[in-house]
Amino acid sequence: MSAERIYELLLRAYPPDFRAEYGREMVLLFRDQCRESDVRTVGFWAAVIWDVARSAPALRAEAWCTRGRESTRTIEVIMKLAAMLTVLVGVFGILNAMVEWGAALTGTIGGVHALALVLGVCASALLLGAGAAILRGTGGRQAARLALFASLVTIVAARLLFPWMSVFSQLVGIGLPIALLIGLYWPRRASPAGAA
Amino acid sequence: MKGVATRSEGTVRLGPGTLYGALKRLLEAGLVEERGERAAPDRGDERRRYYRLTQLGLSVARAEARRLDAMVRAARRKKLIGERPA
Repeated sequence: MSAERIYELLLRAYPPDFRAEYGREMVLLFRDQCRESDVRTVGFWAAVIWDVARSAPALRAEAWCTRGRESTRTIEVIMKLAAMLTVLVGVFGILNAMVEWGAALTGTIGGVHALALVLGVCASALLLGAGAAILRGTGGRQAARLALFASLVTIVAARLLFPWMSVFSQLVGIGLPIALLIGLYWPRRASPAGAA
Repeated sequence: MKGVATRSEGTVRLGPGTLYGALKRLLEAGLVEERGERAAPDRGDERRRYYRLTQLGLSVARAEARRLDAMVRAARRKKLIGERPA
């Protein structure tokens, strides 16, 4: 195996993007070093390995941090989309409860059913408020968390009072606040865009 | 790399990884830029790229040199290092 081939294998310690950008020049430089030094000596290879060991981990760490910043931006974009969805779900939840209330009024509506509908409207309003707070930016994050917790408690109470709540309503009413809370508590750095 | 070793009297030895890692950071900071011209074949491998200091890079280099010069003068005043050679 030639010295250049060995060095090309050592280059795999560097991040792929860095290798794609500078790998060719690094091999050319190494070729120059081979012409000026004796590649059969231990000292030559010790210097080569030391150079890779000193520079590759730092570049890997920088690449990882860069990926971390990009994933933070991805989470923020997802949070904004989820917040818009939450606002829509909140609006439809309120409208649905009003329609159900109207339909129930044509007959007799029990007290428990009425209370469950009221709790459903409250939960939907809290979801709508949480979505709006997330869309406001980092300043609304704490308010969004409180609203989501309150919405979760309210919908669970409604479910306990009214066991005939549809599966879809339960999934959305419980799953959506939990998913948003996970997104809000997910550790990330401040984004220059000032997103949620 | 040879220039660095010569100017530092052998105390600083750069390998390709250290050199290009530093070059990447300098490019990202806007202190150097690629010259855009490729080497003439008679100067060596035509696949090499060449870089130069930007105006910002030159300002930063001068500021750093002035800072180091001030530190050396302070060390001489305190007799921590010898007098400047004639």
